[in-house]
Amino acid sequence: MKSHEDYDTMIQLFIDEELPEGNREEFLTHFKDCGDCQKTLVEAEAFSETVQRARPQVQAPAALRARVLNQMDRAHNKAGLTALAQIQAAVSLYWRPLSMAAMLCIVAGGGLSISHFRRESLANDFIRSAVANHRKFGIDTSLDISSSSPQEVSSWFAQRVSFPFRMPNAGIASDDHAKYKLMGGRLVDFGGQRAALVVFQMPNNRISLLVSSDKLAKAMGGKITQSSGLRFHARDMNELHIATWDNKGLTYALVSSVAMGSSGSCSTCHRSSATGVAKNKKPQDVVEHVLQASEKNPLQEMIPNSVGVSAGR
Amino acid sequence: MMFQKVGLSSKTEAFGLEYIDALYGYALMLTRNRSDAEDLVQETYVRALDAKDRLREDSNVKGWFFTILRNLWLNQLRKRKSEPHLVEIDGQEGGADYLSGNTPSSDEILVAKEDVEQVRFAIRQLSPEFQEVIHLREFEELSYQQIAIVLSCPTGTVMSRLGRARAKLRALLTPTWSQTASSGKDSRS
Repeated sequence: MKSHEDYDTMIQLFIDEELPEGNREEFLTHFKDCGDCQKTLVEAEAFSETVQRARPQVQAPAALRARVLNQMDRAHNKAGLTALAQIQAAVSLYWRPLSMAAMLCIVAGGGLSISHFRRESLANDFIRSAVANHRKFGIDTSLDISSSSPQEVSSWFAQRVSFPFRMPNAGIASDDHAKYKLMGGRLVDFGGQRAALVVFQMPNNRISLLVSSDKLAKAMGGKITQSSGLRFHARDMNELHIATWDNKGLTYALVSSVAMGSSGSCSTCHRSSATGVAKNKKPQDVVEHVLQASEKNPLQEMIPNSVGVSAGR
Repeated sequence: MMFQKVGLSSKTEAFGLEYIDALYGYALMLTRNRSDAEDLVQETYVRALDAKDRLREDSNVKGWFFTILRNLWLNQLRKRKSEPHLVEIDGQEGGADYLSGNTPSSDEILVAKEDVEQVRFAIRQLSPEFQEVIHLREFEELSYQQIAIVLSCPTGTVMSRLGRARAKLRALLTPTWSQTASSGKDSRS
């Protein structure tokens, strides 16, 4: 049995999103019935916000930025030229065309490498944002739109975000076999632009889905699974499970504490997956779904026939 | 004009450039001197470019840049064989980022600005190590683990240091803080 002081310590960890998932559930159970903790949380949150508002709006001087960029260009060129010099020394005149091609490959490789880091950094930012918003919803459960109608939620977001918002599946949450229920959504910020956070409720779990334009971030890294032409990237972060994927100009990040691939069944999210699939999909998709189930697709428990596999269709 | 636009667009893709403002802010906090801060940030990028091939795939790039910057700063301090000399720097504000449709009144801006200045003043009263941990957590939103890597200390130390720093800051801000908290509650009700 934890003392009240223990919970007091947990409050700041909770605000900082550093409370382990196991303790989090325990804390939330206590929190619901504890007026003192509720008051402390509100005050601690307000204090953090006050401090955060004092963040100096510092901008690096333009001259410094220019120097750094020049440095990058020089480093880039130097890498290419050094490699070129080595290649030229090593090959004869007859091989000069080949050396030129090699040089171009090296220069292009350097450029791709920088671009890769940039994309990877954005992909990680997107995941962090999805996790942060998922956790934030544990504290502030208010929604900008509350509806269990996918059409209503889609239409609401479509008018408020700068990208063509689509739910992962037009039939999402309306499937009788889904154990989750669409609750609604709210607007959040990602990369300085509006993104959509869609929230689903399961009996003992909550699922959130962050949706943004793939111009801001693309799905990368993690354990990759291919299904119905989509590539799913799955990873675990502090007992949360995240699946990201791109589809038709949008990037999705699904966050949940539902285990992925532990039992090899779709029953976590669906009462009867086979029937559910058969009802909503083409025969070839049903075969593919069953095959994936037999291969213990790591994502199937979270995104069987509704959230992920048919994304954007 | 067209060429300039193309050049700028390709350059902003450069590795880690999105962190330059945050790094400069951190460098200013450490050095308390614009010229030193600029040199430190520039050197950070030199080291980062040299070492980027060794960056692991699962690394936090922002935290990695901060770690390089801090290590460089500690090396400089060792060379100088002197303690950090804290001097005041004037604020450099780039304008408030107010959300459209949520623009506060002039009075609200004035009150908010006073609060912000008081919080900044209070932070400057903290010890350098408390200032640093507050900066990394509250301003840069690094996780405890990332801060631990930047500061080269265990995560438990980060937690306790952050707890003490917040308590001290709260004590320094107590009169302001009670007013802010109560006015916040009033405005919410």
